[in-house]
Amino acid sequence: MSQLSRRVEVDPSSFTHTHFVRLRTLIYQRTGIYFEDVKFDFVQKRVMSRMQAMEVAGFSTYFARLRLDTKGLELQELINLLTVNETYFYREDYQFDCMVNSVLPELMKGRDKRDPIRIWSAPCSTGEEPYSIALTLLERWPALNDIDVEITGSDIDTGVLERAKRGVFSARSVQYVPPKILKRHFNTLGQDAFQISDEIRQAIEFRHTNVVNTEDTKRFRDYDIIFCRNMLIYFDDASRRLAADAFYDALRPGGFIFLGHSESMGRISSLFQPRRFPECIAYQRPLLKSRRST
Amino acid sequence: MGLKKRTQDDAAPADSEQRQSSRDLGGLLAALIEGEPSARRRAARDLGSQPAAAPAMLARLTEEPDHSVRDTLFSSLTQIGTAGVVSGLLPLLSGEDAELRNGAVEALKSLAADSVTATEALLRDPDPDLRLLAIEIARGHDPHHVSGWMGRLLPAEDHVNVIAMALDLLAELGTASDLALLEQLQRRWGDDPFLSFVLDDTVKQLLGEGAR
Repeated sequence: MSQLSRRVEVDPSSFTHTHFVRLRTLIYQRTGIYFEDVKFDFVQKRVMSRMQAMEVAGFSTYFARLRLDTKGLELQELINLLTVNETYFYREDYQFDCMVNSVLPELMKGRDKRDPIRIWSAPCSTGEEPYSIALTLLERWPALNDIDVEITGSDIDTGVLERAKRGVFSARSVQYVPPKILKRHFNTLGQDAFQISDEIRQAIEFRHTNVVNTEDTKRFRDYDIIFCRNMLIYFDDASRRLAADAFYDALRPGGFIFLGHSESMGRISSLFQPRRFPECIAYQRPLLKSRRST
Repeated sequence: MGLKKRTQDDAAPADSEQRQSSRDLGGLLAALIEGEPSARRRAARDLGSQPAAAPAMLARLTEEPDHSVRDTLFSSLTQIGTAGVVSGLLPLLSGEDAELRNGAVEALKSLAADSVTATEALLRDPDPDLRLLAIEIARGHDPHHVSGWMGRLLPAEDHVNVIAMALDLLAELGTASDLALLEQLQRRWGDDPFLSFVLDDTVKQLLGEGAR
């Protein structure tokens, strides 16, 4: 019997709206990610794919496995499919301009240079964002000669973290990397494969993290800058606030967070102060002790 | 100097944090009222997974002096999200502290599934300030609820600000089926220049002619 003929047939119409609601509740409880009704087709397609891979014909059986899997491995596989990982180098690069031109000079004022600058990229997907941060610092921030910088990339998707660690990117992904920088910091492995240098790959820490899980975020402390772009749009209001609380605790007083261009911290939390820089708006954890307002 | 990899040891919580009281319910409740705001905030975050802590967190809201800790308390209470949390938040709406009032409104908006009955009761409250807050809470609810609620509130409502806010909500979440209600209100409030303007604007929004 061939592999093809053993394949379990999964009927998409067997995944009903009731199933969708049960699944989205489970995903929301575990991850904070909430799928609106309009995402039904998107979710259905990926659930069918996982049911086929697990050779499970009925959704109820699949759902029972999801819930009873104490290690959460299947839920992780499904989450890997449901999260969007489309990105590229130097995406929304005006924020990197803001980092080197405005934010870092402010953070360096009066700073003990033995105290490293810490930057967190969440979610980091396949690594384009943390590597873009590293390249921007190496190429455009001379103060890097005087102080250490630690960069952490985190994501809920274990598959993309493995790819981030390998650091191999397509031509589409590196299309906005200037040729000089591409030549200096990447090894060409083929027409459509560019690997970022070992030196940069080994300098970045990648960590599996669910930002609304307090156990996961507990170890994120003393960061100076957080990039959290285009992630909170997938969360509902309550999860956004949990994430904002986690970022607040992860930042040092005076530290900054950059959100995606369509996102605003003002609609999520009152903990941060918006700061308008020539390049963009960033949100700052206040330096002064907060006061009770009435 | 240059790029340096952060190690797990670098990232570990400070010794003082590791030494602090245990992270079980009793330890966390103790940490919620002791020490620096950062430690109280962390305790508040951890208590978000402990429904039994909800009464203590609700009580702490009115005592806690630090804005960031209060904010985290609201987030954790929203995470717990029971009918008991909803009941505990309601008294804050009548309080003098604007931050607590706003925090309670935002939390109740997020707890829509647990706060339907409470929102309906607030919309009938004799205090117009509470009805105003109830309309803001209704913004977090299913639009079908909102239409029904506004349909019951508006014909009997006399307070101009409550009417205007309810119309603003209808303009955002209502449908063409609410137009009959608006016609009824136009007959009643057509001589009031402000409400007449708001009503016209709401009709335009529902007909898809508005500029929002």
